[in-house]
Amino acid sequence: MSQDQPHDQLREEITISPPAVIGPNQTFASVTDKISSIVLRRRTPWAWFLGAGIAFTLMMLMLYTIGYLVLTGIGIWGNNVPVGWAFDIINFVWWIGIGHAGTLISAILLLLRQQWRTSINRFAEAMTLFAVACAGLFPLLHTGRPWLAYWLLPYPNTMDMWPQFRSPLIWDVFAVTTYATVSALFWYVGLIPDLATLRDRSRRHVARIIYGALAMGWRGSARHWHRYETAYLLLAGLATPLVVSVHTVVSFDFAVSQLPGWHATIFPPYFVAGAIYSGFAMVMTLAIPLRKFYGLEDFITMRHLRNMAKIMLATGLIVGYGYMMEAFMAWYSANPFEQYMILNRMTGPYGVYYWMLILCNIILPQILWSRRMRNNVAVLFIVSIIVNIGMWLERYVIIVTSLHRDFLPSSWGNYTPTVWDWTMFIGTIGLFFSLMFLFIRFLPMISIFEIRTILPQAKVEEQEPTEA
Amino acid sequence: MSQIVQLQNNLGKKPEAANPDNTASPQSPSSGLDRIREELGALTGKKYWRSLEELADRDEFQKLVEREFPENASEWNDPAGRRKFLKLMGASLALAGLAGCTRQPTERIAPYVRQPEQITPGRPLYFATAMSMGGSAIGLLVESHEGRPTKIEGNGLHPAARVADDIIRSHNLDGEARGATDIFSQAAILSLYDPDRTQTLTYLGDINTWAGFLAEANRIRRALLLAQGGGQQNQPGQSQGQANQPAQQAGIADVEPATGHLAILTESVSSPTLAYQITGLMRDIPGTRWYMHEPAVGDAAREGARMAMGRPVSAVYRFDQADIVLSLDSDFLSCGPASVRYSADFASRRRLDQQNAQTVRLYTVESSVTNTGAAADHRLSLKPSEIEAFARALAAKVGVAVGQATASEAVSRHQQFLNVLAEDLMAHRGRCVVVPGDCQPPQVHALSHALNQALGAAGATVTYIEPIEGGVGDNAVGTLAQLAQAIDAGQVYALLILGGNPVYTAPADLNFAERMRNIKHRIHLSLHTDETSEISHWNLPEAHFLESWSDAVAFDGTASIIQPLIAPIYSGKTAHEVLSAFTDNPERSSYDTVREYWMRRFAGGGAAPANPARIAQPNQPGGQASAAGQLGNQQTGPGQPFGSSQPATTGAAAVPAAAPTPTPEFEQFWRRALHDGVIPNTAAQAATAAPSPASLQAPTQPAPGGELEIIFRPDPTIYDGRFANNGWLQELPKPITTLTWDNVAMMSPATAARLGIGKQVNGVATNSEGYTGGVFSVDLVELEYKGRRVTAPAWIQPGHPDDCVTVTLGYGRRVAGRVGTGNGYNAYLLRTSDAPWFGTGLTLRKTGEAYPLAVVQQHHLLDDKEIGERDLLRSATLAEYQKNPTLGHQAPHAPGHEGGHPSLYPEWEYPGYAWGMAIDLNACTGCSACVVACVAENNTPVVGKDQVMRGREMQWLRIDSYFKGDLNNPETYFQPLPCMHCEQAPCEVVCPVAATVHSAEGLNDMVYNRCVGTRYCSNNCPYKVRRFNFLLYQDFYTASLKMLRNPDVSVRSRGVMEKCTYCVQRIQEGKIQAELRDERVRDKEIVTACAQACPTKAIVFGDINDESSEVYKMKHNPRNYALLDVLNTKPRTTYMGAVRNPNPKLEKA
Repeated sequence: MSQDQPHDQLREEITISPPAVIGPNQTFASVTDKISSIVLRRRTPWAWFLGAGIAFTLMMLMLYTIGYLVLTGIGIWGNNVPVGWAFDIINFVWWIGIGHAGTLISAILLLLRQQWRTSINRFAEAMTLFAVACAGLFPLLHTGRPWLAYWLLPYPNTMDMWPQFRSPLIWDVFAVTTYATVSALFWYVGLIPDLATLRDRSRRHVARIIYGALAMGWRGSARHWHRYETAYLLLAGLATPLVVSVHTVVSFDFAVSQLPGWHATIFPPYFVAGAIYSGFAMVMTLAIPLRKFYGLEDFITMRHLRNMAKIMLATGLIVGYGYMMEAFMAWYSANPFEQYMILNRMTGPYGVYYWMLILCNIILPQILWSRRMRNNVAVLFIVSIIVNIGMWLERYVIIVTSLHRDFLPSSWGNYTPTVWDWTMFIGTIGLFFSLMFLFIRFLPMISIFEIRTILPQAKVEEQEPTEA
Repeated sequence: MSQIVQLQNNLGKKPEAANPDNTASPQSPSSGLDRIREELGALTGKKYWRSLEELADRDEFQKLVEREFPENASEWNDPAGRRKFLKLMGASLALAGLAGCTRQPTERIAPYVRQPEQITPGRPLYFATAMSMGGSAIGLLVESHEGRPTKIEGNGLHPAARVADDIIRSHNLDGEARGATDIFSQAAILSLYDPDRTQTLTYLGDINTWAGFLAEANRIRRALLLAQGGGQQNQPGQSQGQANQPAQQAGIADVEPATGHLAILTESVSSPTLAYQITGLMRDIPGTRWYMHEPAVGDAAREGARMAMGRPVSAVYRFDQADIVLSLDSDFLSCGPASVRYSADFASRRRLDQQNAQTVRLYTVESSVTNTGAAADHRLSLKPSEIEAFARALAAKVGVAVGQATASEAVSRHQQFLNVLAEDLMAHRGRCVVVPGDCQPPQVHALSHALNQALGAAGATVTYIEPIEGGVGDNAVGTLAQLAQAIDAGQVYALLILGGNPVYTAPADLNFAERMRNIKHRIHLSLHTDETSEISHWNLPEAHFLESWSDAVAFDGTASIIQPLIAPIYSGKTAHEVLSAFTDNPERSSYDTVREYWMRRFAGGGAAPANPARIAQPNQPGGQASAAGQLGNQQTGPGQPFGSSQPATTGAAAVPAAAPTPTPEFEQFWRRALHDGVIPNTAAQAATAAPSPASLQAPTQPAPGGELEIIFRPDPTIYDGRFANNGWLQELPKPITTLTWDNVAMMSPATAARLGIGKQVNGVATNSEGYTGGVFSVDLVELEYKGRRVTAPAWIQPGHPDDCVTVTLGYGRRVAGRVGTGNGYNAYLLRTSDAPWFGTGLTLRKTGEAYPLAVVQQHHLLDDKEIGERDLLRSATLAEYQKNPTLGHQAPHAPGHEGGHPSLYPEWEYPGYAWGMAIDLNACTGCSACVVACVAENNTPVVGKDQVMRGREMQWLRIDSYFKGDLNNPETYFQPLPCMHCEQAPCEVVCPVAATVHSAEGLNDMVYNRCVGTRYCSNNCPYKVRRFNFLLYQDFYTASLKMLRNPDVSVRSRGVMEKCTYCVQRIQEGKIQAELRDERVRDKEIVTACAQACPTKAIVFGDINDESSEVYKMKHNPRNYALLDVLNTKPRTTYMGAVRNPNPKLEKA
């Protein structure tokens, strides 16, 4: 009985006043100080060196793998003839999916005027960019002759050869390169005012020069701000369709083929939902330790985490619907190949992976229905990791189990990754985190100027002229 | 060099001539310059200057000035070196002179198609030759590109390679008759270029010379003759007298008399010349003995014939005449000398078209799992020891007096089968045939002969001929066991092994390696350095048959001349040359030897020139000679190759002793023989032989032993081990099991379940599938038989008889080369000479360890719901077919066939050619010759066991096999699967760089240069016929393999997708030839490599725009269907369903 009261109190607190998107007692100066000091003033914590060291080591592993791969051939991986794509494309889709949250947060939520996005958009965008970098490596390196991969680009040449535009891989090339370009631009444009802040506040000459050059002469004049706002909004408008288009096109790689388990019309929406799902999971995976280590609880508040958990819950359910529909369509189609595919997915040699995926992506995240769990940072962190794993398994299941037993039983064959599949995968995680560590060390991981706009003071100032 | 000598002489002599008083010691003028100084120093005034000018103008001086040091200055300083130098100089001068004076003897070979002067670079020539294996030959046509053989095809004129009566004559290759081949002859070309072949002649492991060997051979010969009385004896030939006398006159006593005889160990000899040479040597060197060891053939057939008919006649079967065929453990479709011809003949009766619904019915009673069993309409699997009882019971039923019919459990178990079979056989008197297997004991052969006699088959569907193997007819040869006895008795002075690897293949109880060490002189001629080479003194590199002059006879006795396609790459020697080394004409070439034999035979009107043999002959003298004599008598008509110049004479007496000279008629005959690849009218005449019932009275008593029986079989792909280093055959999936790179101990699911082997799935023991593409992880078991043990991987094979284990020979090679060493286990270690093919008393113990096997295909029952729904392989019984010729598939359910074109992309139009292929599953016996032919034609790499285990085999054509019915004795069907060349190819739309495109003739072309290797096409191919170069599989660096490659086909590097092209290079060639004639390509003018190799003509290729073409007709046969029709890919390769002809009385209710 005695426990009831605090419980109720808590519930009341939550329902009545949702946590603010920014902590109390913050001023313009404190925000700027707090965020810029991570880059300029504070001693780099030992944990950064540890983390960056590990990430950098893993990146070296990736470079070693790439070297060996290019010299030897993709036969060092476990791909074989029924399973022509495996870790390479699994990881590609996984990384591309992770990138989606960044664009969604920065572009769509900006357009929708969701203020809570401001404290997470910067590193979410950075995450997008780095994830796309990791993703981009795979389609390039998975080709048998990566040095000729530029043949996928339409460039004028003496052979008068153009790519084959009927192939979804060509669509992929356009989708991913556009996505990478727009994301990079969006991120960089958003950084400019903060780069100017860093230029102004940095004490070291070299840093001033570098930040100064990167700030491109930003002086914070009204005209600057005006143009900046326009450009940023335009870019957001440009980036918005990309959130949907990229993963739709990626899903075409599968949906356009005629392989049972790939050839499904539900793939585009289901892939987009999955991408957002895994993207938010990754943002959460990154945000929770960051706010802890750098004491950013005032900027990345429980409100953010709860909102992201809700989005995960929603997209997770869409993904779950996708799984259900796949199974339903297989049964309803009365197509023996489809029926066998789904049966094999559930009970075949990779059945464990399928049920693991259902557990990770559908069953466990249901815990987020509970408000208490949504408020528990540790639970959110664990769930986000589980969803990351689950989404990776999803791609494994889609790609490997569809390929390994298709039409002719005579060509069926299993797939097992080799050590080089793992080093390449883990290596890209190393690349991702190396870039991430460099980013949090040298650039403001939270948008300083945007945070300032959500301070209560900012609203007061806004009201002043109207009263006057 | 000679100028230098002169200079040195000049410089050395002049001072002495000019200044004889000079007392300089010979050593002091150490250089040419000193000499010049001396020379000049003695002169004065004008003379000095004139001499100086003269000297300066002399070439020698200018050379001296140009060189800082006189050449060979050091040798000049060293008196001993100088002498040696001068000696060498003289010798080389002499050699150079000699070389300039001699002419190489001309050895003419006749091109099959064109005269050599018509060689056009890029246009291959074809030469006829033959390959012999296991005692008989198959005729071949070998494609030669600028002097290097690259591809082997069958010679349609040759009886063993002939596939149909209507010989296909190609237009571009004027007069070429296409024949079929088997996997071994297809793969022989790789053995030729095998970099692991013995490349040098060695003595005691050190490199030696042919001359060195000739000297040794001469010593051995003299020692043997000394032991025989050293030519003092009154020998018929003068040869050894000549050879010996000079030695004795010269008083050379370097040879001790031999302590024993010369033993010649051969494989089965199919070369009449070689047999003639050996018997000649046996005459020349008295006491010489000839032993024969052919590990994978055995002598059961011979002994069976001897038992039944008193002499070792051979049976030749006429499957094209038989309505009912009973195989008693015979794998006549894939094993044995005539398998290609027999497959063709058998399939000709299986061929179904609308008019002719007749078909043959094949009953197979077998103890293992073979292609013949897979082709059977009724298959009974029995333990090997039960087959004799079965045959005896059948014979009793048919009415052969077999004495007491032993009550056998196997017979009573299959009484129904036996009754129906006997009834069916008797209902087809004279139209049926019983074929005994080589692995069955002589009793079964004798029973089969009696059965054939009783059923009226003898003379109709089976004919008997005198044995074709050299030395067999006149009992000239001994067995390996007899050789072992002779060694023990210390009678063998020298052992000459002509081919073969007896140390590896000898029965384990003979302990041949140990015994061989007791022989004083051990000489081994072989293609590879092998186990026998290790303990031989002399190892002679053998010339491959494509480098050799020789001859060989086919299963029916038809002789062919083996002509070389290339000079011996590693100075290999033929058996003829090695044998000549022991005669008085040791350096005689095999060309001369073979030609002389045929000159004699030609002069004798076809009669084999007989050596008066000194060996005991229990039968009439010279069975072979007499058979050939009959032949000679017959051939006197005009146009016959023999006997037209002289009247035929019989008997050896008429054969001139002196070497005959080539007459113009002989030259004509010789060139014709080379050109055609067969010597007409040399087929052995039918021998009259009737089995005596008395021989059948005693049934073999089964040896008591354990409950498990062991069965030895030659390996389906590497045979007796001779092809162990042939990567194509190692990687060729063995028919039915689709196993590569290993041999297994095969057993039935029930036996495996009883022994706790394998994985239990629904109560049935199966092999467990591994974690990657082609891996099966199986139990390692220890086999113990007669006290000897080997460890082998256990393989569970549906259809295998219970309580026995089949092991295949040929693996576990210790010394084979980089490809063959160390694969599998050595089953010879269990094999004994008393029971070479099967025996009881095997015990099997699970070791608890697992072993990975590289298996290309998992096995599936067509009856499984999941598989059956896929409509992969249509099959029906003859009755069902007659009721419904579409084999139960009324209408294709693909939407594309209902008149519409349900595709986003427009339909292709083919105004010119439209290439297509039809594969008759009814004819396919799964022999896999097409797969090796494809590998050979298309430069397909060998990837190795590790890569096959990862599912990355590269063969463009695979043979899928499926089971149907009872797992204990399933029906087996084969489905060759090349690229389907779909009209709506799923691969084409997904390639991002347009590397796979549709051609104007409907081919699905693969542009290797454009491919970046995304593998999307392979993922989207429902047939999974695309192959990807995951690593650099091609060996670009081994020089000999460069010569192997077909220059018309690109050699693919890594990172590139490849697949069947329908042999586009052949299509282009055919089109060019047709264009030159200004007409359309005719039907069957273009043949893909697979279709050409196919013995049963199951694969037919052609233009489907041509309504008269065979492929068009096949595609409009009701049995025709497209694989995975529902996908609307519209494949250009279609199949015709299999129709079996089971006896209605045996059909299960």
